[in-house]
Formats: sequence, structure tokens, C-alpha cells
Amino acid sequence: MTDVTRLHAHEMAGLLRSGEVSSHELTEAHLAAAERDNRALNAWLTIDRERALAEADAADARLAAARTDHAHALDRLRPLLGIPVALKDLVSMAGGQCTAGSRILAGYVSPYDAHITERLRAAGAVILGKTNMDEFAMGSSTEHSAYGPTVNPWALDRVPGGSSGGSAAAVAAYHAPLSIGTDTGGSIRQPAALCGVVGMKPTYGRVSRYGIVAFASSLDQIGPFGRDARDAAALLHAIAGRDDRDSTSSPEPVPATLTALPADDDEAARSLRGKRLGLPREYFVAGMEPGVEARVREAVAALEAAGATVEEVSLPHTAYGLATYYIVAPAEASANLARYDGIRFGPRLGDGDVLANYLATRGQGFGAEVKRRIMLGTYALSAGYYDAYYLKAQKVRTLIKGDFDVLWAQGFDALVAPTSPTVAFRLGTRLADPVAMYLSDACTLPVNMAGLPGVSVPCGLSDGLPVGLQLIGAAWSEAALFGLARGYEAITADAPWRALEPAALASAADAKVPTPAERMAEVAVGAAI
Amino acid sequence: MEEDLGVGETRRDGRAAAPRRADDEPAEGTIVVLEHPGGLRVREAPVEVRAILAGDHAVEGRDRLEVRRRERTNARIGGLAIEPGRLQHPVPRLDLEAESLVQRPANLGGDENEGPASGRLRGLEGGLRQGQPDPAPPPRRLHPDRTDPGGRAADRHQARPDHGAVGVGDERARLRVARGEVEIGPTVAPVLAQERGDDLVDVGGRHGSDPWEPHRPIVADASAIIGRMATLSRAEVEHVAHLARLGLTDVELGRLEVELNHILDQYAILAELPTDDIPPTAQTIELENILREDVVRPSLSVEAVLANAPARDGDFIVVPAILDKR
Repeated sequence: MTDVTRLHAHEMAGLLRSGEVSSHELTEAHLAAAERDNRALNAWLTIDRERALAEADAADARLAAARTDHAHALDRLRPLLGIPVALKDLVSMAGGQCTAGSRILAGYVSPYDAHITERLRAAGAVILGKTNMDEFAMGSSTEHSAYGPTVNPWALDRVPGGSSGGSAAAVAAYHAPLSIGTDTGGSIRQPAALCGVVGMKPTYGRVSRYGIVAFASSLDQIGPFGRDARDAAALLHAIAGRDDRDSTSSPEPVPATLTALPADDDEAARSLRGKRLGLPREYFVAGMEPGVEARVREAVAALEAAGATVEEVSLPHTAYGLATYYIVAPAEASANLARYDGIRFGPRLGDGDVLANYLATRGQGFGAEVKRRIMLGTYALSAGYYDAYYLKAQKVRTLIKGDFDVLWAQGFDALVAPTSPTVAFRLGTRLADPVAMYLSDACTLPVNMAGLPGVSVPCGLSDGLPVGLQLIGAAWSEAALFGLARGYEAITADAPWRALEPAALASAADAKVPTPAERMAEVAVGAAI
Repeated sequence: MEEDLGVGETRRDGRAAAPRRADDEPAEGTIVVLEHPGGLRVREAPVEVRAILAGDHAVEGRDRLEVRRRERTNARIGGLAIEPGRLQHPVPRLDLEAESLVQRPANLGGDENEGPASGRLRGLEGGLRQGQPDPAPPPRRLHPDRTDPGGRAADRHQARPDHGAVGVGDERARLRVARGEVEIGPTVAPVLAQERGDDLVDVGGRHGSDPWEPHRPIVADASAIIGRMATLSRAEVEHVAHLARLGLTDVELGRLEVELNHILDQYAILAELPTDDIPPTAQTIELENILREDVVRPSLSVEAVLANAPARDGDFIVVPAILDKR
């Protein structure tokens, strides 16, 4: 039998139902791959073998019971039953660690499950472990993890993107067919693009954030990674919906079509006909790599050839997105991260008075990027500066959101844009310049500012590295976006690049390749990390 | 020469207003009159700031100053159109910062023409030394060429070889002048003064490195802050770190001073966007009054919650004493 880790989740589901493979076997294969490669990739912070296999056995029992039950029992099983899933290490899982990539949560054990953890358990998914991330989801490269960087399965000297770099790399490296990330300014879509997988940031409010470590509460959203649109859509379906423990989660119905994207390529391709797509000219920014622009424009041409109409449009306030984001997000972060004070949980450093403990715990517990953002946010919210920064940014945010609203009112089905202006960059190259790092998200963060859904799908390679195509839709249009993504997959199903596996994966199992921490030590001399 | 206004003069009516008298003020030493183009609402403005930017707003109160909006100005963020007659004091914006961060000996204050406010409210040097202001200054085109036509900022520094203790902003101000970054602000006419028993006019900013010293932010118009005044000194970096309860090393503080200023520079782009009439967006989905059913639910056990406590005594989390044990 072929390597089951290469299958899509919907293919695994078929084999589980037919009994050709058990969840135990699936889980074991993925655990083995993750354990084998993690020395070279550092995509995982924990791999919970025992728990995962126990969950797999439980799923196998449910499958067996359904098989002996009446004829429709198998059809009624949830799509994710027995399917391995990875969680970003800021999702609470009772009894498990939840570091958020930070020293300040070292040793912390979640006392309860996040809402999405409950949902995944209810769906029968097998949680393999927790993936690496930029500390508190602040970063675009996963280099800002207190537990060492993750590297890209396509090139081990390059970043996987971030902040959900571990989740993206794990799916790209066939350690799991599905994973969970969070996206505050591009933290799902950008690593999805850099690792060559599908990743969606849903509409703000689509998924409950109860039990998720908060970064910027008006922007954070949880979303899925998968290796194709159908898988990612099914995972979103499993976690989406109202939860009264997160008052920002919406009662908006979760469309069942998320689990019913066309399996047939012709049908999927036909769905592109007549779709009206906008191409925002401001997203083809200066500094965009020619290879990235070429792949994106080829993808646009392919969509047009399949019957979609593409018109150039303008989002005139795009240029203000970065500055606006880097006021709003740090301001909210500085408030959210005030809770990490060493009083109720986490390490408590210092042995003096309360103030000395705060200073020591937070000064030594947070990494450089987190401190930078707390400082920015504290400054922006401090007396006398609130109106100049935070209020001003919120007003500009209105303008940014308005840019999108104009296009939806004109009847566009979606916008097509690059996800990241560059392919995966080399480890260490943007650490010394925070602004250069922040520019990685120039094409994704306006979508967060406007609260919209966006999905990144692979659209080819540039210099052997993946390029992502971003599809942006109106609020609550995730199913339509996945439909477009599925259509694009269908019309490029035969493209040669789709058959390629991540180039560096073969060497990941080699015990002689440097670990990410060793690579980082080489490149980070003098860099501010 | 076009004259600067003295302290407290608001010339909306086009007449030369007499300097504000101390007697007019509701509380001793507390009036701050601000003109600003950006609709700034001052919160918790420091009592030490006695800024007078010409008169669309009055700021009152001692420790908690509140801006009372009297009338909207026509001035725009970024400094574009200013209605004739509204422009009272075309002082480079820089001056607000420069002056406000300079501690000056009080005896350098005003001259006799200043009237009763002399020694109590001190204007910028120009305003105080140049006699009566021009009753109807013409509207000024604002920083089209990034110059300082009056050369005031530079003059002021040159004219003041004797000025006393220099605050953290002074060197920055000089640098900005030297770099040609001085620009004419739209309507900012800052006059900073205070009356205290001491000899120094302390107008904000931090002068020491004691993190416990209360921070006195420089209250200026929002566009000025976000546009050109976004420069953090080392002392301010230390103060922000203290506010955030981050214990930072000297190396970190030095690095952050550079990095934060670089990042703040990127914010300047926002100053060019007029947003006076734009409502802020705090949330993007239209949800209101989300309430859950008022039903009893199980909560986490004490054991589960306390399992993560770094120090514990029975059902309590142990923390360092914050009150004296006596």
C-alpha cells in the first residue's frame, strides 16, 4: 500500500469507512513521520503519541460499530472521524501544554479544552500534538519561538512563514493532513503560501476563540490548514459556529456546503464560469518578487480561461494598512498580555516585592518581538497618545474596511491577490529589521482589519519555492471562497508542480542535517532576536 | 515681522486679545487653552503642561484635564487648509516639543508687555519678546517645502545660549532643525508655562531616569504626534517599559529606542489621511448585546485552577505582600 500520509483527509476518510486502513494505522504513520522529521524541522513542540493512539483506537471502535450497524451508519459518521490533526500550541487542550511559543507559559498545563478542541473531539479527530509558532503569534517566520525556529520543508534554510509556521510545515511535510492555526495579520495564509498548502482565515466571529491564547482580540481568528480546499473546508466546518463562551462568535449559520465541495474536477471547474473577480492593483506592491507576480498572474489567467471575469480594482487605503495594523495589534496585545504576570500561573521570577517579580517575570519571560509589541502598544495607549495612535488607527481601519465594502456592493464574488510578496525567505534575514518582517504581511493584514475571510492556495513555484494565491471574500463567504479554491485546483490539477513534494523533505530524516536551532545560531549572530 | 501671540490669546474674532489673566482662570494655575487642528481630546493631561494653542478648546482641571470643544476648527490633520483668521500662531510644530521639553529658568520668562500674565504663563520666546501680536495674521501655506520660513526654531535655540536645564527633547529638537525637518504646523501656538514655587518651568517630558517619576506626556495635536513628533527618547522608552512592567536590560532598552523609533516613523503615513469625520471601527461584525442564558454551569475545580499557581498555600495563591505587615 502507498504511504497513507500522502493522502488527503477525504481520501483517508474513504479508506477508514471501507476498512482498508484503521485510524490506528493512520495515526501511527503520521506520528512516525513527525517523530522522524522533527529534529530537522522543529514543527512540533509536543507529539502526544499515547493520547493520539488512544483517540485513534476510539475512532476505530466507532467505525467498527458503524460498519456492523445498518447500511447508513457509516454515512452518518463525521468526516474527520479518525483523521489526524495538529493544533497550534496556543489552543488549550485539557491536561496538555499550551506555551504559545513563549517561555512565560513554560510548564503551564491547560485546565480545560478550548471550544475548538471540544469540537474536534466531538468530530472524532485524532489530535497528534501541538505545533511551533512565533511567540504569542507575533511574527511572520516562526523564528520568534522561544523553542527554536521551525524551518520550511521545501528548503531547510528557509522560514515556513508565521506565526502558524509549525502547523503549515507539519501539513506540508505530511505529518498531518490537517492542522489548526490562528491568523491575526496573515498568520495562517502567509505560512500556507510559503509552505505550499491551503490555509484559510475565516470571517471574524466565525470560530469561537474560547480557550485560545489571545493576541489582538479585534483581529484574531482561528482557521484550518489542509493540502487541498476540500480538506481545509471540512476542518473549518467542524470548528465553526456560535459558542456563548466567546461573545464575538457569530450565530451566522455554518454552511453545510463546506463539506460538499465537488469531488469531480469538471464540476469544480464549471463552477468558475461567470464568477466576477477583482484584482486589487495595490496588492502588486513594490518589492514583490517577479516570480511571485508571474505565478499569481498565471493563476489569474487560468481563472479567466475557465470562464471567470477578472477586473482590475482598487483598494485605495491599502498603503495605510501596515501602519494601522501595527498600531491596533500591538495596542490590543499589550492589554491582552498584561495577564502574564507570574501570579496565578506560569513561572514566577524574582524574589523581591510584587513589582520586582513583575519586572523579572515579564522581562525574562517574553522574547524580543513580544516585548517590542508590548512596548509599542503601551506607548500607543498611554495618556496623551491614545487619540493620536489607537483612535486614529481605528478610523483608518474604517476606511480600509470601506474599500472592500465598495467592491462587494459592486457585485464582486471575490478578490484575487498574492498572499505574500515573496517566497520563503532565508532564516535570519529579516530578524534584524522588524519593519522588513512586518512587510511580509502587507497583502494579508488588510483582510484582518476588515474582518473578512481569505484563503491562500498554492499556485506554483518560484525558484523551487511555493507561491500562494490569496482569495478574499465578503463576510461569511467562506464556502464560496473554498468553491473558488476548489475550482482553481481543478483547472490546475494536471500542472506539473502539483506533483512535486517539498524538496528538502527527503533530507529531513537525515540525522546529519543541522537542527533549526543550530542553523539559527549560525545566522543570528548580531541579529536582534 | 509677523508676531507671535502671547499666552492665552485666542483671536477667533480677529481682534488682538489681551493675554489671559490669572484672575480669569477658575483654578489657580490650571487653565490650559489648546488650539489644535485634529480634534484631539486630551485625557489625563499633565497638570504641568500649560500649553496654549490658540483657542478652540479649553482645557480645565488640575489633574484630570478635560477638553471642552467649543467649536470645530477648519484645520485638517496633516496641516492643509486653514481658514483665514484662524491661524494665530504659525510656529513650527517642532517648537511645542522643543519648548515643552526644555526646562527653563523662570526669570527668562516674559517681558513687561505681557501684562498680568507675565511670569505666570510664559509664551514662546518670540511671542513674549516681540510685543503685541499682529491682529490678523494671514493664512499660511503649510510646509509645502519643508522649511521653517521664520527660522524661529533655530533662532530660538541660538538666542538662548543661557537657557537652563535642558530636557530630553532638546537635543532631538536641535537635530530636527539641523535636518531641515522643521515644518510649519497649521495652527499650533504652544505656550508653555506654569506657576510653581520653584524656579524651573517644567513643562513635561521626563528628565530623570527614575521610572517611578510620573510621566508627563506632551499634549499636542494628534496629527503632530503621529506625524513628526513620534520620537521616543531613551528616558521615554524606559518609562514605557515601566508602564508595561517589563524589566529590560540596558542593551534591550538601547535596541528598543532605535527599533521603536524606526517603527513609529512608519506611522507618519497616517497623518496624511484626514479622518476627522470618520467613525472608528472597533469591531467588524455587527453583533450587539450578546448575552448568554443565565444558568448555573459547572466551573473549574479549585484544584484544576490552582494546579498552575507558582506558589500555593491550601486553596490560596501565595503572592508577595503588597502592604506592610505591621
